[in-house]
Amino acid sequence: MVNLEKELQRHFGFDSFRHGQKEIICDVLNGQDVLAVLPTGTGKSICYQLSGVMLNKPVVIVSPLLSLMEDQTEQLKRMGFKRTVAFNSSLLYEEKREQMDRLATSQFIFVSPEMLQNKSLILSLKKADVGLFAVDEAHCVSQWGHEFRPHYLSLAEIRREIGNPPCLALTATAGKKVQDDIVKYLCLKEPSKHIGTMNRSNIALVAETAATLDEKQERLQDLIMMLKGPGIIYTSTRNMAEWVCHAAKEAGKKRTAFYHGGMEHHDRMLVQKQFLEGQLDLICCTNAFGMGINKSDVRYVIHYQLPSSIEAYVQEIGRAGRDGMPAVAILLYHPLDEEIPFHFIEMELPDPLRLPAIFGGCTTKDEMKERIEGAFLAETAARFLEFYIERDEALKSKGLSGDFFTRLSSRIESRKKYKHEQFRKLINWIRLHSCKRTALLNLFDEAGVMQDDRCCGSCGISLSSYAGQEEAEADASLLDWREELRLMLL
Amino acid sequence: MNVYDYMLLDCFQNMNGARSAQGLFHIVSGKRTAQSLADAQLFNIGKYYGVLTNFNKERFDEITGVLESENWIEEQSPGTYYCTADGKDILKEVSFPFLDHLAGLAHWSYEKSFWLTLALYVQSLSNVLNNHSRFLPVVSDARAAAAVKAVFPRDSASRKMASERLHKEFEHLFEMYRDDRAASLFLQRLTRHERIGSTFEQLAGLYSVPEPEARMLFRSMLHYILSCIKENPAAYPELSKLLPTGEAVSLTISARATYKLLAEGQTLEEIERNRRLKKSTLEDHLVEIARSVPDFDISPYITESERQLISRICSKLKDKRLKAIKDEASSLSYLKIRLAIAKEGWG
Repeated sequence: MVNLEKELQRHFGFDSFRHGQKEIICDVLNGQDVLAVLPTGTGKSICYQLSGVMLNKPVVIVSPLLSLMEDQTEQLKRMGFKRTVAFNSSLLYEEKREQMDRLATSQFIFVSPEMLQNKSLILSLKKADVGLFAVDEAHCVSQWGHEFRPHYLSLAEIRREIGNPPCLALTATAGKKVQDDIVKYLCLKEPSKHIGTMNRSNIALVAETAATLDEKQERLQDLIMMLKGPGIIYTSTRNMAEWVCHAAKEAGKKRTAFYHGGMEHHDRMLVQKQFLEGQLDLICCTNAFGMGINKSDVRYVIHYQLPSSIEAYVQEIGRAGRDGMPAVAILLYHPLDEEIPFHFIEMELPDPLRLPAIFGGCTTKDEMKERIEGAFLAETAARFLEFYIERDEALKSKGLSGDFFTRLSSRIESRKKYKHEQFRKLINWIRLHSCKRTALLNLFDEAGVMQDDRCCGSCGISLSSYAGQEEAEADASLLDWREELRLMLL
Repeated sequence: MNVYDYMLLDCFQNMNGARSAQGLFHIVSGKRTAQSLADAQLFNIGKYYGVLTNFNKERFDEITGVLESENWIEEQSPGTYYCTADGKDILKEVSFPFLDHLAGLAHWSYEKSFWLTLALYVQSLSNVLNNHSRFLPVVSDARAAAAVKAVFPRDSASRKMASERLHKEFEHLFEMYRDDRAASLFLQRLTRHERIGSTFEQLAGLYSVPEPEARMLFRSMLHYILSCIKENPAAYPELSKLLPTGEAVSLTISARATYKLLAEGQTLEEIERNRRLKKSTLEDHLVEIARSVPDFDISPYITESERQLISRICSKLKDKRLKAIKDEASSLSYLKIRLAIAKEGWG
């Protein structure tokens, strides 16, 4: 048997495996299907990365997010794995063609689920002798997951088409029901399951309810000034992220920046790197920030507004304390905050009543795409419709029928209902007076734990132990261009 | 009045009601149509072409609304404005001298890729010189990465020489530019060893200017640098090696691919099939190539007499919209008209 630790050290520079990684890799190398539920920040990617190196065959990694794909591709290339390619919507036809020609000699192949529907890509993959089919964010296959990507439902078939390589399904958050869905819809055969605990014992959990919005705002100001960074504050909206940033700077926290999806790409990159390089103490952001960002020393995460699900909450607080040192997650709540997530849930899927108006008389695929574009739907809603219309083959016959709309409507309604229920669970959890940690674990079908120290707000915790002054700021005065140019290039 | 107000008012003055506000929006936001490109040139507002790419229509309308409420512009027919006497006065009173360096129409097709390549090149050079080879690149664009990789000096001696040359080139440019604040701001946007560059919002704070002005100070400097190195590449070897290479440098990537296939002798039908392009996209490429590549021969697509006909119509017509020309020459396709116009230019 090869020495996996040695290979880990040689290729990735880590001295030892983290909990669960080695067992997962061993099962993959034995050709088994594997389901791995590993909480955020515990090194999911190393599982397919090292497996790929050992198998010495191309690995396909299905990844749902463009930015995530870019980060991981960049990371692998920087580590010396130059034969890494990514298929996503930003490629030109020529680039796609060229990458496809080189597939058989590629080592890591990232691909979006939508791109994977492409027939010629499937054909190239078939010829490439793929050694492992890794599915990242595998919970997207389940309608009962917090994110649902209908195109994940076709992954099992595609895997079969390309020669049925072993499948490694990875996710950070999946309760029992979602786990079962992953096994079912990805057609995992007698999978070995590695279910890590969701519990991050070094992150203390606090939820505070404010009597008024003013009170909540004052509380935020106090916390910002008291806590020692680096820290992250999550808001629901872009405007709020900017506003909180502005307020923090006014209050004297100068090394603060905001981050949201409305900023241009280059500016987003700059803020991200400033934070990673320690040039910022605080980031005020929407949920656009965090995916694929690996900063180990984040000391606190504050939710100034509500995430839209308990899974999103867990994922976002999981960005704190990856170095294992004490960190704290504080959620500030006021009942009025519930409005925005409710609105988001409504927007995420199309309004069933609009369907006949949008698609009436539509007969071809191109026409359908045009209609969807013209309807100004949210991206998630557009993807949802595209998938079900294509799959239903309703187009092939005589256009979309009333029957089809009825089926689609009930699908939408039940998904919305589910999301509302999940959101309710988050609110209930916030209002709870018993141990927050145990309650949170229970929500993911895990047993509670007893933690003596720094557990949660209900068990009693002193926030002052997370307080402190930021390190003295470097002199922020601007340099004359001659001096700056000298520092830059001489 | 902020810099955006000034820019749009300047445009309204130059267009003098000959085009709609919608048409102006297409110009400043850089819409790549024959009409927008030709209009930018025709009304002498080429420097503003594509300079407000971060704008959506709402933002544009907001500013038009401000100009109107100040009585600087007046609606003459629905959606069309002209500059009032008050507007002309304020344009004389206020000035943003740095805007003179803008040259959107000259550089639009490669300025973004040049900037990304420059940002990554400077960051790489600065870090490697400080023996810091594992840094986090601030540019994730694969094409920029490939461009930097292609020109990056291989050993430490040549790196040192390259950075000294680059230093000299910047120094020379900034001295000629004679605006120390703009030079400093431009450098602050770049990333070097131990300092990540700043966002526009951060630059605005650092230099105590409104964000629009920070953006335009940066953009003007970028265009100035491009104009200088395009005019005299030999004087700026380091900077000009970061320009996209190839004969058809001013083409967009996709049009360049089409151009290459045409040069190899493929027919339009073959290219349409092989590149899986829509017919309209391919026609856009042809027009773009006709405009940007001086020795591109359009005779396979239009006869000499047809060209002369269009030329006659153009000199006769005051209204130079495609539609108007088409009305006069109904037997000719839009493609033929666009090709002829692109080749001649309006000037």
